[in-house]
Amino acid sequence: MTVSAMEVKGLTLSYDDTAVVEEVSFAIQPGQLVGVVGPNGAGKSTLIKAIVGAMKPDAGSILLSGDPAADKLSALTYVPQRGAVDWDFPITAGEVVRQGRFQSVGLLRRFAAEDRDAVATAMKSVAITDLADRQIGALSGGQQQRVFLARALAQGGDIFVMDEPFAGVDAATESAIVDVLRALRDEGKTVIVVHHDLATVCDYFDHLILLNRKIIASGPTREVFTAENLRQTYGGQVAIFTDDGAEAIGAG
Amino acid sequence: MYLQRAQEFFAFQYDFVAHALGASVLVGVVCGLVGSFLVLRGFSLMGDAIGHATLPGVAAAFLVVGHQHPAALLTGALVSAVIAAFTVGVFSRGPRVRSDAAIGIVLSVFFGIGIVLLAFIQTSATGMQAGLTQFLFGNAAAITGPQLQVLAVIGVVLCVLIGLHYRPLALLVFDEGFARSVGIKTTRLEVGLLAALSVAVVISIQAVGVILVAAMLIIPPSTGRFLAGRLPGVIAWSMSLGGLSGALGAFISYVFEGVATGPAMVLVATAFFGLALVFGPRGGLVWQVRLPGARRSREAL
Repeated sequence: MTVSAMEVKGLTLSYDDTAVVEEVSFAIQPGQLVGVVGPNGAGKSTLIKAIVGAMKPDAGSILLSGDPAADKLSALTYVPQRGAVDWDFPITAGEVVRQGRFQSVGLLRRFAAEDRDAVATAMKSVAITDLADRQIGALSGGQQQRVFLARALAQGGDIFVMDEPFAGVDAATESAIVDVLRALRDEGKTVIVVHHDLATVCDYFDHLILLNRKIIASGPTREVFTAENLRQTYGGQVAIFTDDGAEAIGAG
Repeated sequence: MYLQRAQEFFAFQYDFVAHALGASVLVGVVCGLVGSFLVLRGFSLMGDAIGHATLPGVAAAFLVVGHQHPAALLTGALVSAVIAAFTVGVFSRGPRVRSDAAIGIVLSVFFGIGIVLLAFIQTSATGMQAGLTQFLFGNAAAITGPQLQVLAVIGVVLCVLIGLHYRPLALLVFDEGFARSVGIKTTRLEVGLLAALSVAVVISIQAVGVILVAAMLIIPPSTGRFLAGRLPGVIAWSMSLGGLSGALGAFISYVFEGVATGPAMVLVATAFFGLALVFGPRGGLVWQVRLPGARRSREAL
């Protein structure tokens, strides 16, 4: 039996004594593109924060390739929500991407050729090389998201965890990002994406996790993405669009 | 007469002039550095609270020691600054009190206690000559040579420590979640930043006073944001304009007798801020009016 890239067991997370995520368990095999889907307030971002070590769980454990996640932080690469940072901050796109190398470069060491190459390659792969000296506040939403993705690529790692990378980006950026995520998957990396657009779920993801404070379902997208599961996840207030056309679920 | 005093200032006839100048520049530079991270982190008011909160420490230390012993007073200031910072943290942890309210509570309570203690000291026999009121608005001329040396050493150590932690600090203020995901102990780092703030405030209050020290933490970095588009540039502008404001403030305070160093420094720093606000290349008002693109986007809204 192969070791899961990530195994989450009985994870409970809370803010100010209010549980947001309760006893969540799932496992993800390596080399998969994984979608995390659920309504607002379902605890998706909270779950992501716990996975990348930005939040302490009340209970439960997260294993990466069989080891506790806390010991393997360098294997994880986090792409926060675009809204998580102040885009008026005095920093250029190139400098944000360079932050991806801080972990390996350390406190004071200068950037070696290898680090500069990683930054340049990352920026090129999401087509933002010419924006390097641009103030981040002067970028469009799609460009900002590419900058975040480039930082993650410069950082490297085995598991990429992204919080709503497609929120508020144009179609061109979305397809550019999807191409990059697929390329990562094809290299054997695991990519976990918080996602909102049900229409693209089947197209994008190999594995789907439906979350609404608890795990509703987790498994291959084709098996999990069913009307019944979605109704449970969204409480009957959602219209899904299948290949056959619109199919309304529930009466709202 | 003002001209004559100006000439005296530059002749450095008196040691105390050089000490005042040194202490004021030190305040500007150190506060300019610490303040840059503070302002970008959205913690500006924390500087205000910690500044005001040093007063009861100064007064209590005077009551304990019985005379104006600088090291004792500054130690007292540091203790109450740390208690204040800790208290803000505890208050704002619960869901009922937001951090701005917590800062407001701590600032006013600590300052109130300080003023009461000060009034008590003033009415006592030894208190009359204590001159503790100079801690309110600052009196850089009262700083002696040996004191200045100690303050300078502390200031330099502080700047070096911050310099060593530049990368994690920059990540903390820009993107805390990402900082944690790459293994930076953000809580520890934030405590360190608040400790640095407390030390910066304590070494500054003799020259600039407890009430206005916050201005030297907030105004120069805010000026820097209009002048530079990258963090190192913002910090460089903040430190140099802070230092220059300190120097000019010491000069003005010397030339115009009766004007305390603190207000003089703050007015100079504010003048720089006003210039940057209007003419600064990064978002200065002048450029916004002239650029047709900017006007269009405003109309679109």
